[in-house]
Amino acid sequence: MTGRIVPAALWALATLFVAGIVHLGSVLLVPRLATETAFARLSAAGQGTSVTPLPPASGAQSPVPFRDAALSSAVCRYDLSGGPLRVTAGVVHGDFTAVSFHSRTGRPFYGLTENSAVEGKIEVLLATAAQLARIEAADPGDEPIRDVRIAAPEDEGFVEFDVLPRVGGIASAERALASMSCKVERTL
Amino acid sequence: MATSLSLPSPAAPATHPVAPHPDADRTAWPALALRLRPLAVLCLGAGLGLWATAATLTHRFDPAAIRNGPWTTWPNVGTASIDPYARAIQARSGEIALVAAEGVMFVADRDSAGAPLSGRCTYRVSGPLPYARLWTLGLDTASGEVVDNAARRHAFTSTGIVRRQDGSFTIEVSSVVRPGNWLPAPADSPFILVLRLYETPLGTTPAELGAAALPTIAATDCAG
Repeated sequence: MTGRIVPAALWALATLFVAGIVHLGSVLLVPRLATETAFARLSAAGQGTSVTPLPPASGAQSPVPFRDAALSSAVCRYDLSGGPLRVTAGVVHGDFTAVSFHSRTGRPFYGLTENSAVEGKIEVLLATAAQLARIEAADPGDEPIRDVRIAAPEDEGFVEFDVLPRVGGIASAERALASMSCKVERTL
Repeated sequence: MATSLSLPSPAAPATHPVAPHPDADRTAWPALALRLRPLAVLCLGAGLGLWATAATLTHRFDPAAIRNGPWTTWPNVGTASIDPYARAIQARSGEIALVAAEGVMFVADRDSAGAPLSGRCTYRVSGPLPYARLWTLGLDTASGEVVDNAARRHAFTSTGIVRRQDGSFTIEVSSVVRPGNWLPAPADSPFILVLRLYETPLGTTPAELGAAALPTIAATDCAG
């Protein structure tokens, strides 16, 4: 009996081993191969690097699931191959305001709220590692650097702006979102 | 291939070292099957592996998920070191991760007694909350879509809630109109509750997320 059971168990183990490898490999590949990622869904929502308000999460037109129905949001997609991206968001005192950075394959790599605002404005320079190295090399040595500089893990991705006004509701949120901008800097 | 022509030869057992004594009645067909076994292992293994991946994505199963009472959350989900399962699940669903610097998200698909949330019951969500600048409690379908309702109320925020004198509160989740903080639920379909804490000092480690004091979800008045 054991003469048959042992080989069968070994083959079964080999099968499980292959299954494990394939499972882990495919889980790792899903973010690259998926066609309905947030990045892909948002591409329908806006062109270029313009900041596009998302339809309310409570409506049927929300392009992405699992959004907070209480917040108003806008997004801009970016492609750093054309140069670093300067992201600015106006902040109204007392309103919850957050800016988050996501790579194309779904790595949420940075975020900040109005606590990081300077003079009523959140401002971030998003660049690739190579662009950052060039920017730093060109920095004047004797002046303080005012930019918040972030290295993006991938060339492509998107920025999300979230606002929850303390008073004023949707109209106030839309005004705040209209002050957000994403601009490609070509000054390198 | 000469395999099918040759009789079982003394060399044949060597291809399968763990079975040094092949049965005398083996014919050419089992010999071929033996040779195909590695192929079968590869095919079956690949099939099983892909099935497991599809199942984890469909059921949003993440081995790193943290349970805290009725609530579930995921460590590092809002950071660059997001775990591969959460990342795959989000890529498949198309959702945008809540960045850790912005907030932490907890999801409940069952009540504090462990029963799946259902529109047949009324739920009282009450109790402690970790400190947060702002929090919201929303109601979605299992796949993350907002459930529309006649009252057009889809989420409560910490600023828009009616509190008792001591600052405590109760939110009633029900498919029938309730006085006070009423979060409308669908009458005949399952749903989830989503709690988001914005700008909270709550850490993203499993220990902190698992030990945080979160509201209870108590079922009352279950009809039928």
